[in-house]
Amino acid sequence: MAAVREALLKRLRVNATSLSLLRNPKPSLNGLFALTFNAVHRRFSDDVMGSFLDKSEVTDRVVSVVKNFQKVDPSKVSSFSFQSFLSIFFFTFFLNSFGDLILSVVLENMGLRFGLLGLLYLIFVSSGEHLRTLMEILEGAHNQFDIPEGWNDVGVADFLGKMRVEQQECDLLDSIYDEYPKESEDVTPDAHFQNDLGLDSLDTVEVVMALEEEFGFEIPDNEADKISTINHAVEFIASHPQAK
Amino acid sequence: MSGDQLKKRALLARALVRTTIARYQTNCEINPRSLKFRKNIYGKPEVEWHKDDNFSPPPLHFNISHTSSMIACGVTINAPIGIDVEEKQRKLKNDIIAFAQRYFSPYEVKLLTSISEPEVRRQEFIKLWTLKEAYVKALGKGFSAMPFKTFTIQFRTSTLRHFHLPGNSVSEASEVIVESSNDPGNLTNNCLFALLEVAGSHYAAICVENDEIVRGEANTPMKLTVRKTIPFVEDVCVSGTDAVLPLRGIIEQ
Repeated sequence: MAAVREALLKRLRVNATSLSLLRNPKPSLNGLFALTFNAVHRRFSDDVMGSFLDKSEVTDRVVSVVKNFQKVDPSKVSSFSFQSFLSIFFFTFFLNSFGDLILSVVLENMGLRFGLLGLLYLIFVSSGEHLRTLMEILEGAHNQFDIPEGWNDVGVADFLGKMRVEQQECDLLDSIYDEYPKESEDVTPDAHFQNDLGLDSLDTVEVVMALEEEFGFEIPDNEADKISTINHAVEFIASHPQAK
Repeated sequence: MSGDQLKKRALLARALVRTTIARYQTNCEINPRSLKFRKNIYGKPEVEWHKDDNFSPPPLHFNISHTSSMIACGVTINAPIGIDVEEKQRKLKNDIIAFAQRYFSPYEVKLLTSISEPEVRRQEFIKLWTLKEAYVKALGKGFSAMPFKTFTIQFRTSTLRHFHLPGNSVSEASEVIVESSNDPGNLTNNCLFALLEVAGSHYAAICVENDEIVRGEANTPMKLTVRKTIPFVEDVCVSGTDAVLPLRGIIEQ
């Protein structure tokens, strides 16, 4: 389970230094929704603009963009399936039981009334999935598990207990492993997108687009062609002052 | 795909190219193994013909494309060719319109936006993508020399007059034309396009550059033969069968 935990925590990259941004959020619910994934993750200050990013950090970020690109199965992201719903709850159970303080501190500062809802929101946002409304999730929970109003107070352990009774524990574990498979060993800094990672031309362009989103600047088409390996991407981004 | 699968796929692609080109030699038996390849200055692969006094290299051009489930090789005489295949079911990880706004021309974005049914939109996107890829590959200068935004693929319905059939019957065909935004209004008519649905599962786009086409003369068909091949094992001509469904372009099978 330690390996799964590592894999899960890696996907949930809440940067410790960005807490300072979250300490001054708008406490209203609108303000919460305004905090997008990118806003949380970028070191967002004017003095950073115009300076170059550190290469090893760029490498890490590029590698993670490519890994996430490979992992994301669009059908899983866009459909609201029972399995993914379960794995998200199991996820929260894990985090709660290991007491990851970063997340609870973040939640406190967000001034949320419903801790579990906020956690769900963060998980959705951080795993880069589409921002489904929380109402949809609640509805799903109601339909599947006949959970009464005020369900957020129901301990997750009770919730899981219900599942064990329905003998879904194995399925649950399977779905965890499906959602978070073993980290790809092929995505090394030397990896060539087409030859090593098996990406075709459309994939490569999609990866470039994902990198543009991650680093917040546009990569011109005449340069995009030359980005055929992770190292090329790193070189290009690290030498570009507009990269965030 | 795992490293092993990738290696196998690369090998298969090479075998396909070698056996296909070797098949089209008329002067002498060429051993597929003896063919040499190199890249042009833009990185496009081409055959390196053996320079010999008695041997004038045939004007053969080829291009390949592969998806995880199909490898395609196109061969022509006297005309640079570009080919691209994609799975029909292929889904984009980004939003289609966002992707199109970033990489396609405004005309194409408008076309895609006007399609409300998401599945149809996705299919039209794949068709446009393969056609654009095929065009860039045919011209052989790479993506950076011809960013996708600088040209537009348009479909134009035209009537074909069949003089050879009794009654001079007329049919409708969907012609594919490309317009460069550097030179708007000047339709580059020296490229022939074909878009096919292959084996019910893939879209294949083919672009052939042909200087012999007289500018302004429309309705020139692309003469196409399609074969389903497993190198050294099986070779079946599937032109005109259900395995090959013409979608766009004027094609003669």
